[in-house]
Amino acid sequence: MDMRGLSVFISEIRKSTTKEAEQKRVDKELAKIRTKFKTSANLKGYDRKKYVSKLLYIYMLGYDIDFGHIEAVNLLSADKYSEKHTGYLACTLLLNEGHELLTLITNSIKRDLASRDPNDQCLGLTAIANIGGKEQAEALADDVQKLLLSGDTKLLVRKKAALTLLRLYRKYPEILPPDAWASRVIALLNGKDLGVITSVMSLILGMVEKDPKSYVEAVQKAIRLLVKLVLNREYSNNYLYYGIPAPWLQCKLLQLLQYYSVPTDEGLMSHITQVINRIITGAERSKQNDKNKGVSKTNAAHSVFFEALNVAIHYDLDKTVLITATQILGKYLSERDTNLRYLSLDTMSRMAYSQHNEVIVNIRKNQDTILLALKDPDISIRRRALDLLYSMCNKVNAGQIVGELLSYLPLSDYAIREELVLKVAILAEKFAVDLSWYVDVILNLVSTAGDYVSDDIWHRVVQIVTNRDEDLQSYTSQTVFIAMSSVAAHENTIKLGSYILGEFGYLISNKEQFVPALQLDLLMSKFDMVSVPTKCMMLSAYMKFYNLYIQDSFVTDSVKEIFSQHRTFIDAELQQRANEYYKMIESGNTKLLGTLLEAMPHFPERQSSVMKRIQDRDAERKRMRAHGGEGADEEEEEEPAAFIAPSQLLQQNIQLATQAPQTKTASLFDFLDDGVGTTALPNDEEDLGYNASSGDLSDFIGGGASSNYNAAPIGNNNIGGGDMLDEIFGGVPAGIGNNSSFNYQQDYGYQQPPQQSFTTNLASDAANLAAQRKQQMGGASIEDLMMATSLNEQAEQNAAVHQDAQNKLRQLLVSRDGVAIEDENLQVKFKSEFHGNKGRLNIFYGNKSNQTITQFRADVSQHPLLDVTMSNVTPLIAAKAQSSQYVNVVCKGAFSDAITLVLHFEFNRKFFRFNVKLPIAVHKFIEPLPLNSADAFFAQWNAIPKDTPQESVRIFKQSEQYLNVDNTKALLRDGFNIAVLENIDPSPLNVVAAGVFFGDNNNRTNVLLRIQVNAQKQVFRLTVRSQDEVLTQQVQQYVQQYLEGA
Amino acid sequence: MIRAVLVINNHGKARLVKFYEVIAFEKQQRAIAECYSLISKRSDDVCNFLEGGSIWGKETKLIYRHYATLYFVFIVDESESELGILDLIQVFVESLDKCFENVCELDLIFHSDKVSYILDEIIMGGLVLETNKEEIMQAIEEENKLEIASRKESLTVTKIKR
Repeated sequence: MDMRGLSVFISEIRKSTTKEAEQKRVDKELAKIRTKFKTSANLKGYDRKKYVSKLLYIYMLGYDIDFGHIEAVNLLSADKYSEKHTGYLACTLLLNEGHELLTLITNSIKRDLASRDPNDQCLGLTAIANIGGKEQAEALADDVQKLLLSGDTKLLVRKKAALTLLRLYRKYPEILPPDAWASRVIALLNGKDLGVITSVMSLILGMVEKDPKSYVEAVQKAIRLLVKLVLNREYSNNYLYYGIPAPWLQCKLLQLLQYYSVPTDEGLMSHITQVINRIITGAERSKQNDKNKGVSKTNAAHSVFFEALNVAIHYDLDKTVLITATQILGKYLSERDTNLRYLSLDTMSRMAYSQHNEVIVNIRKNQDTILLALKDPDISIRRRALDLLYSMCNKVNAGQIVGELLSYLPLSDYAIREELVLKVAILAEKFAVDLSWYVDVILNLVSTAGDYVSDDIWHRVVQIVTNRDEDLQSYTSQTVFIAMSSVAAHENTIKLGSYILGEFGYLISNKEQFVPALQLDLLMSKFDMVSVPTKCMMLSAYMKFYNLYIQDSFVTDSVKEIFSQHRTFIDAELQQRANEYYKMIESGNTKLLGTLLEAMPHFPERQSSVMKRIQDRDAERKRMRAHGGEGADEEEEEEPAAFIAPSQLLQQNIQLATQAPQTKTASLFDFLDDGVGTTALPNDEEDLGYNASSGDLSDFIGGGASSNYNAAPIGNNNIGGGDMLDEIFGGVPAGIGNNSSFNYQQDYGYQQPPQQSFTTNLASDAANLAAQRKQQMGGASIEDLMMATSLNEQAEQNAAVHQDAQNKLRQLLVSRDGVAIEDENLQVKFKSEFHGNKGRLNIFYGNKSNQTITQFRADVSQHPLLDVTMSNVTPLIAAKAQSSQYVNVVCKGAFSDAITLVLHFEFNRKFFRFNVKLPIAVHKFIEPLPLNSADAFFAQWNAIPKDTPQESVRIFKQSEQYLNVDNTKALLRDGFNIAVLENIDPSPLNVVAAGVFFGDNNNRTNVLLRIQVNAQKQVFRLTVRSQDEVLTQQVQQYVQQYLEGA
Repeated sequence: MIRAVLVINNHGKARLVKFYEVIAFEKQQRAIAECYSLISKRSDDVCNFLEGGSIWGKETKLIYRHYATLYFVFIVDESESELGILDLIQVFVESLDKCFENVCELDLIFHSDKVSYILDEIIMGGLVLETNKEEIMQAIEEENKLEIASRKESLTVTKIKR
C-alpha cells in the first residue's frame, strides 16, 4: 500500500482502546470519505485508491460498507496497474455475486481478458473466479475458454483460466457441453507443466462431479500420471514438496478414481495397485525415517497416503493392501501426532465396511485404543472414535461397545450426545442377541440422557415389543414399572411406561408387586408432573386400564374420577379426551368398550425410522464422490432391517388402513406408527396431502391443542377426485386422531363441550396484527405495479379463467373440496375441513405444464372477524408437480365478506396474478342442531321476534332442481351442514331446519330456517331467524342463492 | 472446495477475511466470531481439524494452524484432503514470510492488500491454484514490479516500527 494517509489511519485505529472509540474514529473516516467521493468530481486516481483502501480496511474490521462500490468499479479502468489492482481487490471483496454493479464490471473484465498483457488477463480472471455468476458465464465464457486453449497463453494465465472456467461451469454448466469439451479438456493433461495439470484436474473433477459418464477417458490419463509421478519418478524438482512429487496433484488424481468403478483393463488395474502399494509403504517409511525432520514431510506423504487408502477402500482392493493399511493405521492410533490419529480413525470407520473379514478383524484388534479415544481431550478425536465404534460394532463386541458407550454417555459433550444416543439405540437393536437386553439399553438411555432421546427411539421400542411374544412384553412391563418407580424418572420413561403398562401391564398384574391398583397408582403419581401431551397419553392408558380391569372397582372408580376431573381442563385436547373417555364409560356398553380398546395389532415390519435417520445423516456425510461406488451398497446390505421397496410399503399401508376401520382399535388408542409419515413415499401420486397430514407422529400420540391443525387436512368424508391412495392415507390418521369426536357424536348423540383455545387465538391475533401493520406500511409495492401492467396483456384470458372460478366457487361453497381455479398451466384445488369455529383449508397447486413455475407466492387478505394463518409455500413448482399449503381460519363472529387468496407467479417469463375467493362463508362454521320435537323448535323460533333485523323473510321463485323437496333437504344437510328436522311442519313439502353457528371462543348462536312452498305459484317462502342479524342475512342470502339457482 | 479463508489474531480480531461464496455480511461476522470461539479454546496439542460449527454445517471442516499471535483458518468442504490443506496453510505462511521477511501480525495489518494478493496467487475462487513456492513468489514479484513501475515509488516494504 505504502500510502501515508492509510498508514496514519490504521495507526490511529490501533490506538483506540475501546470499541466505542474505534467506532467513532471509523464513523468520522467514513463521513470524510463519503464527502470526498461526493464533492470532488475529479478525484485523482491515487486518492481514489487511497480511500477505497481505507474502506477495505474498515470492512475487514467488521463494519459493513454501504457506499463507494462505484468508486471501486471506476478504478478498474485506471491506467496505473496499482490502482487497477486495488479496484479489482475491492470489487472481489465488496461485490457479491448478484450485486447490481456486477454488470458494470463485466465490460471492464472483458477488456482486460482481451488485453495482451498477461497481468491484466490475470486480474480479470481472478475477479471472475471469485465473484462471477451466470451473467458473467454467458458474457465471458468464450474469452476464458480462448485463454485456456490458445497456445500463446502464458502458463500462469492458463492455470488461472482453468479454475475460472470451473467457477463459471458451476454457475452455468451449459458453457461446457461434454461432447465438445470432454476430449479437449482431457487433452490438456498431456501438457508438461504440473501446475497447469493441477488446475486442469480441478476443472475435470468439477465436471466429473456433475457428469461422470462423459469423462471416463480421464481415468486412464490419471492412472498414467500417477505411474509417472509415483513409480517412475518423472517430474521437475520444483514440484517436489518435502520429497513428495506434487502431492496436491496426486490427491486430485486419486480423487478422480473414486468417481469410477474398478478399471476393467488389467494393465491399468495392476498399475494402480502398484501405485497404491508404493504410496502406502512410502508413507510408512517416511514416518519411520524422518522422525526428526519435522511434520511437514510426513504431512505431505500422508495426505497422499490417506487419499490412496480411499481409493483402496473404494475398490475394496486386494486384501493384503488393506490389511497392511489397517496395521499401519493401528500404529498411528497410538501416535502422538493427533492429526494422524484423527485421520486414522476416520479412515478406519470407512474400512470397517470392507467385505474382507480379516480387515475388520484387524480393526477390532484396536478396540481398546479406540475406546480410550472416546475420552480424548480433543472433541474432534472423540467424534471420530464414536463413528468408528459404531461402524465396527458386530454381534460379538456389541455388548462391550454399547456398554462402554452407555458409561461414556453421562460424560459426553452436549454437542454429540444426541448422536451418541441415536447410535446406541441403533446398535442395541441391530445386534441384540436377546431383545430384553435391547429394552434394558433403551431404558438406560432414557434415564441417563432422557432429554436427548427423541420420540422415534421409544416409539421403536413400542413397535418391537408389540410385535414380539409375551415374554418380552411382560419383561418390558416389569422393567418399565421399576424404571418409572424412580422418583426422578424422566418424562420419556413415563411416556413409554404408560403406553407399555396400558397395553401389556395385564401380563404382570398377577404378581403381587405389580397388581393393577399399584400400576395405576404409579401412573397417577406421575400425572401431575408431566406435560400435557404426556398427560393425554396417560388418559388413554387409564382408559385401557378401565377396560382391562373392569371387575376391579378401585381401578374403574379412580379412572372415572380422573376423567371427570379433567372434563373442564384448560387444554382442548386433554379436555376432549377426558370427555370422550368419560362418555364411553358412561355408555356402559362393555362389549363396545372391549372392541374399541382391544390390544393394538402388530405393526407392519418396516425400516426403523431411527435407522433411517442415521442413514440420512450418513448419506449427507458421505463424500460426494462416493456415489456410484460399491461403498454405498455394502452399507445397505449391512442393515438388518430390510429396506422395503416403496411399492411394498404402500401395500402395507393399505392393509393397515383397511384394517383400522373394522377393528377400530387403532382408531381409539393412540395411533402409534412411524412408517406413514417418516418413510419416504413415492410422490408421484397426484395428491401430496397425505404426506403432510401424517407427518407428525407426535400429534397422534401426544395431542395438544395444535394437533387439530397439524394433522388431518382431509376429512374422513367427501373426498373428491376418487384418488384411492389419497383417500386411504388421508383417511386413516384423520379418522383416528382428530375426528374421533365426530364419530362419538354420531354414536352417542352428545354435544361436545365448548372448547377453549386461548393459545391459538393469541397466536393468531399476534400474526394478524403483524400482517396488518405490514400492510399499512407497505402499500402498493413496485412488484405489484409491475404485475398489474403485465396483467393487462393477459387480461382477456384471465377474465375467462376468473369467470370460471366464480362458478367453481359456487360449487365449493357447498362442498368440502374441489378445483377453485384453473387455466392451462396451473390448477388450484381446495380440500377443507371445519369443526366448530375452526377451519382448515388445504390448497394444492398443481403445475400442469412442462415448465417450472417460479416466484410463486400466495397471500391472503386479512379479515376483522376471521383469524387467518397460512403455512409457507415453496416459490418453485416443478413441471407436472404439485405443491401444497394450508390455511387455518378461526371464526370470531358472523361475517359477510369473503377472504381473497392472491397468487402471484411467473411462468414462461410472464407474471400472472390470480385472485381466488376462499370458499368460506358463515355456514362453514355451522353444525347441525338436532331438535327433536316441535316444542323444542318453536320455543327457540318464537324467542326471536318477528319483523326485526334478526328475522329475514324472502319470497322467490323455485328453481327447477328444487321442485323436489328431497333436493332441498339434501342441500341444507350436505351443503350447509344444517340439520333438517322432520315431523315439525305438517306439510311434507315444507322444510324446517336448525343449525348452530360457532363464533369467537366457540360461542354458539342457533340459526333456524323454515322453507314453505306455494306449489301453485311455484315459489318459496324462506324465513331465517337467529339472534345475530348478520348471521341471519348471510344464511338467508346463501340459501336463497342456491334455491333460486341464480 | 475451500469455502473461506480467515486469519484471526489471538484476541479474535480478523486480519484477513476472504469468503469464496455468497454470504451476507452479518453472517460473515458471525462466522468469524464463531470460528474464533471454537478454535481459541483448543490447546495447541490437539489436532488441527474441527468439524462443523452452526454456520457451516456438519460436512464442513475448519482446518487451522496457530502461529504466534495468529490463527490461519481454512474452511473447507469434504472434498479437500485435510493434510493437503494443512500444507497449503504452510505454503501461504511461508510465502508471506518471504515477502515480508519474518512476517508478523503488523505486516498483515498495514499491508492487508498485499496479503490478499498473495492469497490470490495460491487460491482462486476456492480452489488451489498453485502450491509451488517459487511459482508463487515469481507471480508476486511480477506484480510488485508493475506496482513499482506504476507508482514510481519504492516497493521494498518499509518495516513498521514496533
